[in-house]
Formats: sequence, structure tokens, C-alpha cells
Amino acid sequence: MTDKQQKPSSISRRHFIKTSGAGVAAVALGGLSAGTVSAAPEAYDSEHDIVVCGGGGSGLPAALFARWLGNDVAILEKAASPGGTAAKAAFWYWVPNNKALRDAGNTDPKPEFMRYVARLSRPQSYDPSLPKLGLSDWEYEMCEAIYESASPAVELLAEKGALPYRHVPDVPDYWADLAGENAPMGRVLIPKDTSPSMADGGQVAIRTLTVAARRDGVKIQTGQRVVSVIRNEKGRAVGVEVETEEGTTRRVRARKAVIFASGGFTHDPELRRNFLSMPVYGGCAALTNEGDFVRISSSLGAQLGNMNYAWSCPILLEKALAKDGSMSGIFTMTGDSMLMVNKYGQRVVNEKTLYNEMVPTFFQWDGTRAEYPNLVMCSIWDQRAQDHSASKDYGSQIVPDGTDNRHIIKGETLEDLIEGIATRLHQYRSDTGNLKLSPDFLNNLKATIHRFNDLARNGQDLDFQRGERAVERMFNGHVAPGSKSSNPTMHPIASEGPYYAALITGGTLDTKGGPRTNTHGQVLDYANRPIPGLYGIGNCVASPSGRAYWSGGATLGPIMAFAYRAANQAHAEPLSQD
Amino acid sequence: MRSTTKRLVIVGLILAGWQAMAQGKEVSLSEKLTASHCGACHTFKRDEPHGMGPNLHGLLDRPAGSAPGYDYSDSFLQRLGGQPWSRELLDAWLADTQALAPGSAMTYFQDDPGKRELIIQYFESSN
Ligand SMILES: Cc1cc2nc3c(=O)[nH]c(=O)nc-3n(C[C@H](O)[C@H](O)[C@H](O)COP(=O)(O)OP(=O)(O)OC[C@H]3O[C@@H](n4cnc5c(N)ncnc54)[C@H](O)[C@@H]3O)c2cc1C
Repeated sequence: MTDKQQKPSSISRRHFIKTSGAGVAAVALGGLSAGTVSAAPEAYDSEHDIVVCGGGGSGLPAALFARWLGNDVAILEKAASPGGTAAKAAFWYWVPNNKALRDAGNTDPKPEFMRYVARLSRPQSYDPSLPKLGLSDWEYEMCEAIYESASPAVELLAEKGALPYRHVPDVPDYWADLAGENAPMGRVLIPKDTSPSMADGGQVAIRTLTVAARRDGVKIQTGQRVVSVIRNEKGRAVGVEVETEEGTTRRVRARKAVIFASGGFTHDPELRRNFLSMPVYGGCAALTNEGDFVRISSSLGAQLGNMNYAWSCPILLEKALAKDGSMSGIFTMTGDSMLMVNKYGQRVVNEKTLYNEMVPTFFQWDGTRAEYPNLVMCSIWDQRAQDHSASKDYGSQIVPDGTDNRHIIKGETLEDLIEGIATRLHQYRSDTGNLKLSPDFLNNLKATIHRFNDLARNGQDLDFQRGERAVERMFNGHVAPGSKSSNPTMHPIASEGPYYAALITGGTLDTKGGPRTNTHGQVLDYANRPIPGLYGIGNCVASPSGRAYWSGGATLGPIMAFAYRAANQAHAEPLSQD
Repeated sequence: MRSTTKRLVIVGLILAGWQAMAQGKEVSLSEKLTASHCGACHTFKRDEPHGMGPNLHGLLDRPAGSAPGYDYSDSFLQRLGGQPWSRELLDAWLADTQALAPGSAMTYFQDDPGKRELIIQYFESSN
């Protein structure tokens, strides 16, 4: 392996890509065609059988699977360390028909699984009497592949000590109620050494996967941003061009295949603006997930899919605007004596709605007023919730004293609180279209609290059905002990301050659209033909899930399946001669 | 001797690249590298809250595992807790956190001594 450092000829392109990566509006979409195809017979700086671009939740497993088949494998990772978004994840992984579930004597038959995912992914065309249940052929086959391969993939990772797991037998799927009595339990696995809160699985998984990768000879190289795919004259992907963090350019040869595992486009404002169905404020994906594969693959004629959807989650407006790398999504909107109101001081949503399902509410359009009335909502709580529901886990908006509480607005009275909210909103006016509280906010808020308290006393949310679903209670977080309410998600808000608030909007864990692949991870062109030698897995490619978040772990479980299938297919590729 | 020369060459190359990137703006190289390597998880200024990792203000010489209010992993505390962050300890930690404290929460390794040197220099200059 030779490591030549400098290639002056590439400087102009390099600078161009840098600018687009920084999200400069006019340039970024132009950047879609910046993925350079070069067949020039220049020398390579290093050579491997399989080159994996990105070392996060999909790249690390794929590299390991490929390595265990005997290949020389390199991971080129843009950030300074491996892990990507997965390092921040709770890392639940949803594995249908997994071994632990079967060993416990339970069953998870494929037809039920297929009906479940079809119903949630394409509710508008779902029909259980149709052979493909209303899914497209592509969606159906991709979902079948998840059912077939997720379990063998995770077993192999566990057996090799790369990702030992713990089974969580009693976590229901998010929509278990749709499947009725036959709903299977126990599709969720977590990394074995995850803490009892089950929130730090990502750190554990990235550690064990990385240690195994280095132990087994996967070459992980950090600070390496892949900027284009090198193809031979037959159009086969035979390598990549890389820009190093030092600003030099390298060419890396892939004798068998290039596998992209580079995450979504959460941190590219221009791609978000043009492709996502909702105008989100970014999200909590790794800061290096800037949609690079969308750009790179477009010049290769890749077919895009599912660009409009993301794994969505409410987020704190202020952390999103600050591009805080440590930000989590709000998986648990904690607090029983807590409610959420829009700029008019009105409740518009069940505050315990599952994260992915909550997000569209922020972007509901009011066609009469021509505005997004819920663009930024205020979660408001009292001292009881502050004392008993504060948590450091799952992105709780209520956090304990002594932790990062810069997002919290406090007021001794409701009037004080509102003044604080108005001041905070004013600071962010250029990012929110000058969003202000309406003049009748205080009156409306008082009426909203009055109504909420009545409902809470009766334990039934007649307006938004808060707490009626089992899964909402699972994500409720801690509440004050000794509550007699039949509905642990609701408690009347105190008539005395202090009160607290946080500004919340909708964001992404990461996006889930990009080039479409077949069930073996091969990137497809617009004639549905694989682009030879080019693979994609994880959030950088199109997910068959449409808008759905099937269950906790529904990103990473399927990712394991496709990492496994792509590695096997890539392993079987003939060695290229160029 | 050989490794020192190699190290200088590497630092030189990094310098060339990063200076090209800085486009006239004077941000120190070691500060830039530290921001990109550590900044996604850590904060650096006095009194800034912890992120995924602890706040690193005044890191050198302070005992490992002592940032108030941060939950360190047991493995980290067992292996390193209380040892002052010397230049040497920081270098070993940055070279491979999991080799030094297997099972600790941070997964990071940096094979290039030149880059480790630049990061250490940042902490020295800001201590
Ligand atoms: C707070 C939080 C909690 C979550 N919890 C869960 C959970 O419990 N269960 C679950 O299933 N999912 C969860 N997720 C989602 C999950 O983390 C992601 O879906 C998953 O990590 C996606 O894997 P990936 O490999 O596609 O992307 P990532 O894990 O983000 O990895 C992509 C990698 O590619 C690198 N990269 C980007 N561009 C380039 C380039 N040009 N060249 C080289 N490298 C590049 C990035 O730096 C990054 O390291 C959570 C997400 C968040 C934010």
C-alpha cells in the first residue's frame, strides 16, 4: 500500500464540494452532479477487495461480514471516529423471528410480519387480500429480505463477539394493537452491556463492533470523506476518490465492490428543503451526514426512492439551530403535569404520541391564515413534573438540575413564563419566519390548562386520547409516585408556579431516502439494473418503510439484514482487472 | 529519530492542507483539528455543559474522571480514575481509548502521532 498525499489537479473540485457540503444554497443542488466519474488510469493510493464508505450503524457490520468471508476490507469514515448516528442511538434493534424469541417458544410467522409492515408503510394501498398486500414489488421484496436475513445477521455478529445481545422479551411493537391477539412480542434486541435504562446501547454497540473490526483486520481509516466513485470503461465501480481531513485527495481501489454506508442528508439544508415532505430544522444524525451519496450517485444514474420521508422525532429548537452534536431526539415527552401548546396557546396533539408520528403535527399547514401554527410548540410543566419526571435519557425535554438545561425557560407565574418564551422566540425570529405568540396566548393557555386539568382528574383525555395506548405508557418516563390516577400520563398542572417550558419542533433522527437498491444492496439505475460494483445500505439508500417507524429498533434491525446481504453479494463479485 | 522526522513530515502535510482550507482566516490548526475530532461530543469552554462526553476545559493536569456531574463509565473510572491527565496519558488515550480502558464509553483511536500531537497542543495552549 502506498500513500501518496497530494494531487493538485483535484483542488478545484475539492473546493467546490466543500462549499456545497457547507450547505450553501445555490451550490448544493448543483453539487448533486459533483460525484465525479473518472475512468482515468491513474495510480491508486491503496487497494482493497471491498471498500465501505462510512463507519456507522450499517458500515461496521457490513465490513465485518465481508471480512469474515475472507476479504481485504477498508472502512473510509468521514468523521474523526467511527460510529456515526448509531453511536448516539439507544440501539434497540428490531429483528423479526429472532432466535431468542423462538427459543422462548414463541412464533413470528412471515405472513403476519408482512401484513404488519405493509399496513404501516403503505396505509393508502394496503389490502390484505392482495398477493403483495398493496406494496410495490420492490417494497414487498425488501421487506421479505428483512424477515429472512435480520436474524442470521445478528446471530453471526453475536457469535463472533462483535455484537453480543440481550433479548427484551416484553417490548411490544409500536402498533401491536393493529395485529390484535396474534401480535408477537420480543422482536427487540439490545447490545448486551447496555445499562438498565436501555438508552446507551449505541455507545456499547459501536465499541464492540469497532473493537471486533480492528481485531479481525478491517482497516478503519478516519477523516476520509469519499467524494466520488471511480468507474472503469464498462461502467463498473472500481474505487473511490477520497478527500482527507488534511485536504489532500486519495484514490482507493476496490477490487470487488464499493459499499456506501454514509447515512442520510439530515445536515444538508438544501437537500432537506428540496426533498423532504416537511420543512424540518435538521435533527440529531451525526453532523457528518450531509447527503454525500445522493450527490455522488446522481451522476452515476442511480434511481432515487423514498426521498420524502425520514425517521422523525421532535427536537429542541435551540439545540437544532446550534447544530449541537450531542443532541438527542425527544423519544419520551416526559411529565404527567405537562402539556404542549402552539402559538395560540392551544393543545393540538396528544403529547405522548410516538415520536415519529408526532412530527407531522408541527408542520400542519393552516391554509386560511397561510402559516404553520404549530411550527414551534411549547412544552409546559410544573414543579411536580420537574421534581419527578426529569431525566437524562431518551432526549427528555425535562432534565435534572446540573445537566445541560440551557433550553429551559422558567417563570414564577404563567405571566413570567410567557414573557420568557416570547423573549426566546424573538431571539430565533430569523429562523422561524418571525414566529410570535398570539396576543390571546395567555388567556387561551389558562383555558387550555383548565380543560387539561379536568380531563386529567377524570383520567381520560377526551380531546386527544393521551395515554390510551400501551406504548405511550411505555414511553411516559418517570412520574411522581403514589399517583392515584387511572391514567399515569396525565396529572393536573399546579395552580401555583414555578412553571417551566421548552421550545420544541420536528426533526429527524436521519432521513431514509436515497438511491434505490435491490434486495442484495446493489444500487439500481432507472432501468432497475444494478450499477456493477456499487452497493448501498442504511440511511443513505431508499428504505422500503415509506413513512413508517414500525417499532423501536426498526432502523437498525433491517440495517443488519441488508449489511449482511450486501456483504455476501459483494464477496461473490469477480475481482476487477483495473 | 526516524519517527520524529516522520512525525514532522506528517504535521507539515496536515498544516499545508488545513491552511489551504482556512482560506485566509486565522484559526489555529490544532484548534481546528481538536474541534473536528472532539467537538461533536465534548464542549471546551469553562462552565459549558457536558455533551455526550464531559466538558474538557482545563483538561491537562486535572484528574481523569473528575468533571463534576458527568457519569463516567465504570471501566473508565477503574482504569484511569484519579490519574492526572498528563501529556503522555492523553497521547495514549487518543491513540486507542479501548486499548487503554477496555469497555469505556468513548470509542476513538488515532494512529497518526502528528494529529495526536496537534490535539495535545490545543489542550496545552488552552489550559
Ligand atoms: C438519538 C438517537 C437514537 C436512536 N435510537 C435508535 C434505536 O434505538 N434503534 C434504531 O433502530 N435506530 C435508532 N436510531 C437511528 C439509528 O442510529 C440510525 O438509523 C443508524 O445509525 C443508521 O445507520 P447508517 O449507517 O445508515 O448511518 P450512521 O450510523 O449515521 O453512519 C453513517 C456514517 O457515514 C459517515 N459518512 C457520511 N458521509 C460520508 C462520506 N462521504 N464518506 C465517508 N463516510 C461518510 C458518517 O460520518 C457516519 O459515521 C437513533 C438515532 C438517534 C439520533
